Amino acid sequence: MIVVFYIASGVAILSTFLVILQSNAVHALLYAILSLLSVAIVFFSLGAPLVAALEVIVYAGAIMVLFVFVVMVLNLGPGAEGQERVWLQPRTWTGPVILTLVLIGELIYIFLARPGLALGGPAIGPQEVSLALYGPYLLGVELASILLLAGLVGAYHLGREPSD
Amino acid sequence: MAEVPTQYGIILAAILFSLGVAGILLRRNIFFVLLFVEVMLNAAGLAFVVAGARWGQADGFFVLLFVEVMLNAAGLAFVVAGARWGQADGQVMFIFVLATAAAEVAIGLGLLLRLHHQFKTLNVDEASDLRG
Repeated sequence: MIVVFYIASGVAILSTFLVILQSNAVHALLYAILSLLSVAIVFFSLGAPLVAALEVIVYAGAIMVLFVFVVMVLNLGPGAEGQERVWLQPRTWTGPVILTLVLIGELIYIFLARPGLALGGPAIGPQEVSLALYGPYLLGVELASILLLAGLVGAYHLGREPSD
Repeated sequence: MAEVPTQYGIILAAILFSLGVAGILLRRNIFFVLLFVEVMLNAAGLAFVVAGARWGQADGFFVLLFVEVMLNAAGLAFVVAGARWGQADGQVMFIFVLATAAAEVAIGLGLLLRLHHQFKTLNVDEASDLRG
């Protein structure tokens, strides 16, 4: 399981990095799906099978399919790819990259400076998660449902043809 | 089962989150911006699962840190975040992050289609002026 964790982590980081570098939207999307799938394997190796399954079904399945659908609707031609390449000049990316490297360096330093406990224990199945979800976190479930309803109404409003 | 040190899981989440931040900062296409918001939300979810997978009580430092990561990324689940850090709680938080991501992507892609309809481009800078 340790080896699985490290390999999946490497794949996740590499594929996320490649998402940034792609100028073709569909290629970037495919790398993003790869990243999500490898994070699902990380979840599984950490003993969270329900969340691993949800990652594949909801993230890689529903959300990314929605992105693919939008790419198809927009029907971006080869001109869009050239435009992306124009935007990806060193002048644009040096500043953010330096700042983000500083951020990553600080985070890694902070985490490694703390004494760590090993992750482990038995896997937590769907039953325990469900009991927690509909027990102490019932308010959170209600809030999430309100948020999803707001998302539904908002998406309907934005997607509607303007009447005027 | 796994004998992975806790920090490695958190560092993975931090790296993925930072990659998402970098992506948002250096891409101008709204499509890519939305994609990187997804990457960041996913990283926040990973941090929660790592926190939940750890045995015993988490100390205040980690709890604050997770709340920070989550506030940056999601913003809904903080209502219940301070409550308890047992075993299943991390996964519960991930489900909330998932719900937030689903709502976010619906609105975000709706905005994307409107932007493309209105300006015939996906450049986010075009939408700088609201009623200009």
